[in-house]
Amino acid sequence: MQIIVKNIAKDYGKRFNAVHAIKDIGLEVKQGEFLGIMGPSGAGKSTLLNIISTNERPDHGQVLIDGIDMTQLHDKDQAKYRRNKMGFIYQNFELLDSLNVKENIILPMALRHASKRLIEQSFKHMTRLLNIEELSKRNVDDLSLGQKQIVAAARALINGPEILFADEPTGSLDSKSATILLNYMQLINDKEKTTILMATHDAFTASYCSRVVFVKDGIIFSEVVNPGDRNKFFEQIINMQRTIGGGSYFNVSKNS
Amino acid sequence: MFLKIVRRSFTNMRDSYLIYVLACSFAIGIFSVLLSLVDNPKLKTNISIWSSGFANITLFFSILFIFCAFVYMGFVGGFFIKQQAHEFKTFDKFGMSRFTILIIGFIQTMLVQLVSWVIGILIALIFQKFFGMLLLYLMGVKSGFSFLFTSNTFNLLIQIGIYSTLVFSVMNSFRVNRLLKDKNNKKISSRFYLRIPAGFLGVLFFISGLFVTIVLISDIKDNQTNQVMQQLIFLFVAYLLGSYLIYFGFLPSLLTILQHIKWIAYTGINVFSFKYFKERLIRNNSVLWFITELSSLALILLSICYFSYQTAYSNYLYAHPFELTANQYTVKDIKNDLKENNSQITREYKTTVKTTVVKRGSNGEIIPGTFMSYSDYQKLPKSNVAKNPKISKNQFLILDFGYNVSGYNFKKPDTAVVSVKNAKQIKSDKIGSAFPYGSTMYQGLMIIAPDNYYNKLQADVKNTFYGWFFKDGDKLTHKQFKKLDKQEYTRGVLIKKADNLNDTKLSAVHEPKHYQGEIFMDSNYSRQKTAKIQVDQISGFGIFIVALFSVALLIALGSVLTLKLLLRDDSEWKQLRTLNKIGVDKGEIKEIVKKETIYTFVIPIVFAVMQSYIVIALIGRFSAMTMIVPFILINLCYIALYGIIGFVTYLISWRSVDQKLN
Ligand SMILES: Nc1ncnc2c1ncn2[C@@H]1O[C@H](COP(=O)(O)OP(=O)(O)OP(=O)(O)O)[C@@H](O)[C@H]1O
Ligand SMILES: [Mg+2]
Repeated sequence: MQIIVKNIAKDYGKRFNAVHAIKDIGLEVKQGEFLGIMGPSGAGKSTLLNIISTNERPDHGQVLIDGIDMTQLHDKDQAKYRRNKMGFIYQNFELLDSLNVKENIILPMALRHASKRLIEQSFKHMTRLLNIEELSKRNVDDLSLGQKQIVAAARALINGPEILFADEPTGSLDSKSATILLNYMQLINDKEKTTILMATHDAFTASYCSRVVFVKDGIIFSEVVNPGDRNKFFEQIINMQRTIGGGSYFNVSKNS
Repeated sequence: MFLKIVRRSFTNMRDSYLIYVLACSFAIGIFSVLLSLVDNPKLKTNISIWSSGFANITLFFSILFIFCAFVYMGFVGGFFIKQQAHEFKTFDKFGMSRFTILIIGFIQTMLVQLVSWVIGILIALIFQKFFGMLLLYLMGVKSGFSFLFTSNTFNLLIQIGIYSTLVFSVMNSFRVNRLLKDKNNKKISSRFYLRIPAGFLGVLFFISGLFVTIVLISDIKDNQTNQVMQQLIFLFVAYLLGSYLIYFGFLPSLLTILQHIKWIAYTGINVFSFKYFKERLIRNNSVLWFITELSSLALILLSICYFSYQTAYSNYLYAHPFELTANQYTVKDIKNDLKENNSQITREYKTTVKTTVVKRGSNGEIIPGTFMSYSDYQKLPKSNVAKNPKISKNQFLILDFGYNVSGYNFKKPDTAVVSVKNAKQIKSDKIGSAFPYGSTMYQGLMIIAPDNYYNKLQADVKNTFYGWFFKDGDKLTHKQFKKLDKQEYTRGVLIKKADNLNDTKLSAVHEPKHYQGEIFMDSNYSRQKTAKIQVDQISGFGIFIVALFSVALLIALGSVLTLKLLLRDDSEWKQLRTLNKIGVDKGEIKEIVKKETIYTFVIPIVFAVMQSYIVIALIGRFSAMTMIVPFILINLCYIALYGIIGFVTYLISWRSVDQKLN
């Protein structure tokens, strides 16, 4: 899946107190790329992901996925596209609290009318992989934040999506679970050529990407490409964060 | 600060508040109109029984009405508080004093109530004239209606308004308080060990209820009364309990079972919707039950009202089939009057009859029997005798109240046996009750006899009946009518019994004073209009009240359902939005909303209709009248109106979901 974002812009609110969430962003994501999006809070990362994933329509610009202009599609076709090709880990998880963990995870498969056998099989596989087998009958409401996040990740990955959108996928996870999840994401990125777009504040998380773009005040500020060495990449990301400000704990004071 | 919070909650739930306020102000408006009609002078002067009867009945109904409205307001007012539970709890957590939160609940309720009262009273002011005219029209009174609101009524209304507003506001503050006290977020427990047996029992009850109803309907004819009482009590319990248990146990269990059958539950949106429906169902089950029972009550009451109206109307038609009827004693006066008034006669009938003594076979009673020949009978207007069985020229037709009063169903024999003085005994299976000249014109039996039997019969008394139809009424003046009225029961027949029927004597009497024997007085004339005025007034009044109540009931029940559907709590909203985010398109979400609306409206109606079939058995017990067709029509109307409310609810509900999705 190749994604081309052309000059999109998005405002929220009415004329006088409008927020320019995204001013002008152009971006190209190659098939099988693992793209990181970083930037301070309120920079527009989530908004950018929402627009690319067709959850929101931009005010201007185009989003081309494999040459199809997503912004021109009808709601219905967009939903179909989301259902069939995309996986989502939302910043606030977006789990359905009337369903239990298992039902939440299998929902995307059920929506695609997959066979029962396949559903059960994938579910087993997914939960074993992410180490959440014992959660399966639990109520979503009762889970801890981290557990919710990993469940949300399981739901996003169970379908084997062609594009994965991950908004702060490790924000609430302990380092072990985070590593498991990130490794898995890297694995599917390698093996299945899944295109991944991930927003994060965390330099360590970002160091798994093949490229990181930095967003600030609704525009792309700069980008860093993974040189092949994760430690070096990590350094580069930290440095860039310092120049931009925000995002990392030791330069919060500078920003405030 | 307060006001800001209050204003925000109003804007957030504006659709729901709008519906609630409209329903309340409609109820208040109707109540005010009814109250103001009680002492309206126009009604007093135009309707003779207004002051003595109707005024009190109106007062009674207005009190009943506002009582029901209060129950509605108290009940539904709580929905809004519940809706804000989350918000109030958050305020509490932030350390806002509890008193402040109570005040917010108080102010909110008070504003809504006051607005409802103001709108309600305005509605009453604007529409009083309309309702008054409608009432007069329905009662058949041709006269204008003048607008009047006495200051008395007005003061009373304002007082009731203020007090009830205070009461409801305090009540809602208590609700808020209770909500804040109860700290643990109550999760609805499923308790399926309870629900499954309860549901099973419910279905059992309901089905046995249906079965008993069918039994009741099918063997109406011979059944002891106390057994019927038992059956009715059983039905009552079985239905009330059965439908509650179905809502409580059966439907949730059914959904759970469906949810556990993986090949149904794991396809498409079902994963979500079964659970979602179940949660909503469990949360709303008592409301659904309440609505089911009230709807069936409404259906039953409407059918009974229709039935009573029919009974009154047909009794009146039996008594007065012609517009004006006379006999040989009054015909001269009446003809003179008619000529004087230039009344336009459209049809005129005249039949001679012979009266003698007969003995009714079923109870051995000796009574007058009035005979009419078959060929005379055939000449009468068809509509007057349409309810009687058809006879051929050699058959006897026996018309008797004792066998079958319209409405009351006594044991009706298949054949009637009548012994006639000095003539052959009559045996016939043709029994009717539509007396061709009206039931008041003669006492005892009327027998339509073959011509040769009639000609041979010796008459103790002969009489001639006259009947008229007119173009624009009989035009009798008040004075003429009074004169005629004096003659009403001045003539009759006297029976002097002997051991033998053939020796029993019957003779005509005039203004009887000291006669020996049994006297049967006939009415010497009958005038449709006199009776019609009263029947029209009573039935018009009845229709007015019943119509108001049923419309109000419909609005109340419909709005409860609508509000229940509209007031989704935060998590329910969020879930629909989440679905959209992970790729469920709006069409499918619309489908969920649609299905939910359909279930919420259809299930109660289906149960209500099934339950209301009791009324057929009930009415069949007292009457030979078949109510099936009107009953079905009533049901259809009710369902249609409900359907409209349901459809509108669906539109509003979808609109609000759609807005939130964007
Ligand atoms: N639905 C909305 N309505 C109004 N403003 C919004 C909405 N969503 C986002 N914004 C605004 O748009 C801007 C960008 O928000 P966005 O959520 O994209 O930031 P972010 O980069 O994801 O921040 P974070 O790192 O905190 O997740 C913010 O100023 C935010 O307040
Ligand atoms: Mg964000």
